[in-house]
Amino acid sequence: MPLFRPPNPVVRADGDDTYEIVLDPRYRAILDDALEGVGSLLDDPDQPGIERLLPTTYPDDPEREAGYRLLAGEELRTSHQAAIETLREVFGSGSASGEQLWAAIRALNSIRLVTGTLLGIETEDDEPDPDLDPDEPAYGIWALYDLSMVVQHHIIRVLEE
Amino acid sequence: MLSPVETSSPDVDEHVGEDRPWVVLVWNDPINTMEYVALVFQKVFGYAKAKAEALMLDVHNKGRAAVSTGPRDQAEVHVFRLQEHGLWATMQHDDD
Repeated sequence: MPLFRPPNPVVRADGDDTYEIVLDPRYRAILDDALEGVGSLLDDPDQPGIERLLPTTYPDDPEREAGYRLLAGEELRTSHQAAIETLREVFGSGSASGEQLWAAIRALNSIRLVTGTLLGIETEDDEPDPDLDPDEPAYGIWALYDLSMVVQHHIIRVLEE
Repeated sequence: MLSPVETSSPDVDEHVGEDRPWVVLVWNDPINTMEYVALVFQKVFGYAKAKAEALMLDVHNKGRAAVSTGPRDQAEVHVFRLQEHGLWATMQHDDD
């Protein structure tokens, strides 16, 4: 175990099951916009980009898959949206419980899954073109993809302590 | 005198099939980070960190890992909880 760890730039323990959000407000605003966007996409399960959030459960059995979707599909969408709303509340209030941090890493993962899908990421080797123009929409999507991973990593650090 | 009556026999194979255990598979998705996948395994199944990390490495290196086995209703709960966390989870019969 390292003797020195730099201060967590996202979240810090602040008493018994209470955590303070210290993430730069500019990054919070960027992520909040993204969370709102992903939440809107989830309103319509046919929207492109959310396929990874609603995966097939029975890939070899369309009949069972249809039945399962009917029973659990709506509940899964609602669960994703609840995690998104929780993280937006946490960003707004500046503090979180441990349970809310668990919802936070789920919501950040939803951003990753949607942005990753939009970027066409299929392998670990998929990376942004080093010559990508910052004015291109893909540049911003890649930045969001990376930002959500970094923030998720720092929250995981706290949850593992 | 009784005449022969055609009866339908129970679909034995179907019942045997339902009794066979179901396996929950998690498939590799390059978007999910390794630390996140291992943490989800600990939370959803209560696995120790070492077991969760071993399963995560199976997913990463082999493309998929069987993370639990059991009756269909239990497997559906596990799949749902994994999918809630954004993992690519499916289920199938144990011997498929």
